[in-house]
Amino acid sequence: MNVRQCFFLLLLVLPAFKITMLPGYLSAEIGKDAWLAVGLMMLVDLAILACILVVNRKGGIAKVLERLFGKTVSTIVCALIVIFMTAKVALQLQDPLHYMINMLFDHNNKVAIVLPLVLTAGYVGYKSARSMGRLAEVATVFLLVPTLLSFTLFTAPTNYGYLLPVLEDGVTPFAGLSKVLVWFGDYLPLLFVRLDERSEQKSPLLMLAGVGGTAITLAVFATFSAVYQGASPYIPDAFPKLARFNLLGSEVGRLDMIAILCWLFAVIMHVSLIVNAISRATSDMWKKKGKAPVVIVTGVIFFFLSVLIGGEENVYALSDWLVAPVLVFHFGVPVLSLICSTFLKGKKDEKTCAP
Amino acid sequence: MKKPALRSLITTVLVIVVVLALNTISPSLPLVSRAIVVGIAIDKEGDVMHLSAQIIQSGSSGESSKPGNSTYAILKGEGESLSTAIYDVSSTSGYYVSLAHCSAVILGEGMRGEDCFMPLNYLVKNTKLADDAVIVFSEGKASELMEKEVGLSFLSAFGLKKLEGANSDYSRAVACTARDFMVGDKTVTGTKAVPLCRVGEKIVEPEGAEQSTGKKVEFKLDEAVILGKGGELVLNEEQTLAYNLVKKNFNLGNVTLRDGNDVTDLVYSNKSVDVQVDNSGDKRVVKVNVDVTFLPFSEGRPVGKESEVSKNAIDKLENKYESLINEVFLSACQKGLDVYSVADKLDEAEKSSDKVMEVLKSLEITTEVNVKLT
Repeated sequence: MNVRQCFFLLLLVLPAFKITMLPGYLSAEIGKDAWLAVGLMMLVDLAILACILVVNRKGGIAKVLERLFGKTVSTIVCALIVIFMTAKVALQLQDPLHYMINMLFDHNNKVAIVLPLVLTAGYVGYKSARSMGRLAEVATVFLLVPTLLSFTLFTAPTNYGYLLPVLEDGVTPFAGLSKVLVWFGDYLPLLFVRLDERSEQKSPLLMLAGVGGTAITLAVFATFSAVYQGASPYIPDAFPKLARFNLLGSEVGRLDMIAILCWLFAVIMHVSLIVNAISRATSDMWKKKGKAPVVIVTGVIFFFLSVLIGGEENVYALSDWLVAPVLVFHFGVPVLSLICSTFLKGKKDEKTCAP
Repeated sequence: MKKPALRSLITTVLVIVVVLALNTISPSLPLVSRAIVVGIAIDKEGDVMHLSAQIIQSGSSGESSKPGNSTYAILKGEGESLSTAIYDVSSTSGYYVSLAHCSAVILGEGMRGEDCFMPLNYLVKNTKLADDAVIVFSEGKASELMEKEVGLSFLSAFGLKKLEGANSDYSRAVACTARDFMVGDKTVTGTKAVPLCRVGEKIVEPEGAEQSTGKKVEFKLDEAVILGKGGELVLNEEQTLAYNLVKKNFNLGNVTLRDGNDVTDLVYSNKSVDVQVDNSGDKRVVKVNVDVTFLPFSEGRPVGKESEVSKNAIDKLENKYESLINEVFLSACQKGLDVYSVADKLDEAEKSSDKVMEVLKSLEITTEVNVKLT
């Protein structure tokens, strides 16, 4: 995948799991500064992206670890990251599931929702990273039209003054962030998904994608708080609820479906990026060329875990439990692999190539 | 089997699985089993909640294609809570209640005060009710209001939605959506304004209107109920206008000024409002400044700011607005209602819900309304 494709992919992927359940939940934990807290976390994520891009240029985490510590250590670390990413996606999939079960369809049949979602994401993830990037590139252009339409026809009464003054209650409420850390660290798959060799010098564009994704997420968070103000903690599905406020909504019916389709597409791209990263990681570990068995096994695990996790309360209980692994894998692993990669400085960089 | 053929086979199987999986969603609730609810009326008698759901009923296959053949039905249910009442509607009618297209929620007289919070919170949080659905209180039973046919729309729910939008544009009614209700409810004093709907005396029988089953009546929305944790206050027509002048954005409307034999229409052009709490003196004073700009019209023509409107007439109008704004504020404060959102401007220590009520009762108000002609 070249950097331009990765740019569009990141723009889609970054807000995908942060704009539905998270705004309401974070408002309950942090209050009206929830948007600031998210901005802060995404800035930390941007720093992590910088680390990951350096590691990526050295051939990816598997190669760096293998050259420094040998095959066994590399395999163990990669396997742990794969397990973590799998658990994380299963947890994050509760976000669209919650919306579809509670707001979109009148039924409680999780299987009927997860199956098409995982099959589609699995298929996209099975294709090469280049195909995935191309899809994101083409889709973003098409998604721009409904996104702009939704913005220009947005009619909700907003009071951005509600967001001020910032830090009225100090920084103490920011401790609530620890409970939602699992919803961040979306750049982790880039440790495995390799970028085009020719795009090595274009990392700033990816940082720009990170800034763009952060801006989109912040805009949704800030608008959500400005619209729902004190009622924000009680609104479970932020983005779909906001999308209902449309000028044409009362005249021609529910135009919010267009915005929701864009969001669901972003969700599928997010999951498929992780499927692709997992398949790359396993091929790095065992030097196997065939991705199909890995994708099928990953899809089956996603499917069963997503169905088994259960309701909203379990989601937040689990994300609370995952704090330690999150700290290790989201922040520890990229930083440590960056440090490790500096030891390879004297050696000639591994040639990276598009998968 | 050759590789491309195997790939096609796998893709076909995947597509079939996806389609079958999606198909399992719909058979449990086919469209014909859904009651597309366009408005609901909630009444409370004792501990029992009565729900009336207005649904669109399409004509039989041959007739439904003809324009004007759609009609409506009202399904009824009851229960100790709103969710049980909704379930009762579904179980007794055989239709699954779908609130995704609900435009209006009418609350009966028995739902005033604390009784309206729980059902509305339930509607906003747990159902698919659109957040821009309008909420109104009815004078008397909500179900009776729902059964009336109103204006150019034969469905009271659609009529209410249009009427509330138009009236709030003209500053005649307060507009309250499900979102507004929730936002107001979660402020320190829980103050929110909901229009009060009553049936007017006029009988409306427009020619060429949609199919009607009876005489159409006029709904009047020019009064409002302000309610919160401290109690409730009913605003009359003029007080509602004063409330709107401070709190709401309206972009249409006019005032007729009579000065002797001269009649001038002042058409609303612009307004700016500033509400501050002055803590400098012994007593805390709320200072409200309202600048309203009007376009003067005489005999249907714009006459500009050099018009013949006397200063005396303008002063009278300013004084009237000032006294109405003060009257609304003081009456509301006595009931612990933060009608102009001054609680946000108090000290942090005073923002707890019990302290703020006491502070509100001790507040004084000075209002300055400046009417400008352009």
